[in-house]
Amino acid sequence: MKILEEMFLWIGSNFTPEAYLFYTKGQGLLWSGADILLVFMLLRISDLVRERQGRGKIRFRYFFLGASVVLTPLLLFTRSKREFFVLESVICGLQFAVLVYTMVAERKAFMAFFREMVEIKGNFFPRS
Amino acid sequence: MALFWTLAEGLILVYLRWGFLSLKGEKQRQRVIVPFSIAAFLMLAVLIFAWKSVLGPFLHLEEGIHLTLYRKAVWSFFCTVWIVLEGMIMVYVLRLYRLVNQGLRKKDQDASGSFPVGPEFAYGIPAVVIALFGLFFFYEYLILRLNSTVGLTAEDVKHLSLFYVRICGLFWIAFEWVVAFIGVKTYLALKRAGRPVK
Repeated sequence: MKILEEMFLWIGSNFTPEAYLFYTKGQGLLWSGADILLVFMLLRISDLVRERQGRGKIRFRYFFLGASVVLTPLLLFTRSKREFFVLESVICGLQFAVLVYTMVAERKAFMAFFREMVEIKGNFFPRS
Repeated sequence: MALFWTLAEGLILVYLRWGFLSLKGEKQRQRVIVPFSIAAFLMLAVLIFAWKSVLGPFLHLEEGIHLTLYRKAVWSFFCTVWIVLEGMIMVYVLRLYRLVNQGLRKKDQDASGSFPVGPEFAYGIPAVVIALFGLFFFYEYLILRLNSTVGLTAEDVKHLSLFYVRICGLFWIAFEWVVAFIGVKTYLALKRAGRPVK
């Protein structure tokens, strides 16, 4: 407990807003990278489902996700907490909008597709 | 903003849970979570908007350091709620992947997948909730203890709060990468299952 208290006192005196911003930029890049990958994978899965139903491929959602990819490195160049917060909100907002839109718009197709797989009623994809 | 992101994360969690339970054929269990989530969200809204009148008289919030401690504790609490929700989302993504993976394995013995048949991460949610709220309460306990023994300044409390936010950031990153990794595995497994049989 003594060590922890000394550590807390050190953090209390040394973890300044400048240090916070430095680590936040690094973390922002890491979580944005994860978000980009997971939204991209959701769109790829969605494309598989759409292909199976004979629907066209997704286009605009990739464009919005791409915009968030372009904006992400700019997090490194933010000069204040506020700047970081605004840019991060735009990046996360784009990714979140794509995620939610996909989950809502494709929910019936997703459920039918995954139910078929879980219940193993037939072929998942049309065989060529 | 704190409430908006809590709502956003909460919606994703409720949606994933609905999907998982629907696939398992246990959709009726979803009925419990919706009123519970609404009640929890309303309590959080009270914490944000009506804190002064509700908690002020008990916590002496008109005094300088108490007010700083309270405000920073509320912010840390919301950060904890976000990582708890994200952790629960991760557990449901793992459960969904396992369910789908089992289906694919039954269909095709060669389908990719690494989760053996076993418990459905049954202790995942309690583990996430207990560990992360435990971390929050322990961190706040240490701050309050130091404040009463050594006497912290408002600046110290702010720095400690900023540090806690970055600890939460580490959990956030870890959970998001696990979900992203499972997304890649799911996509590859589905793509493989869709290949024409040779």
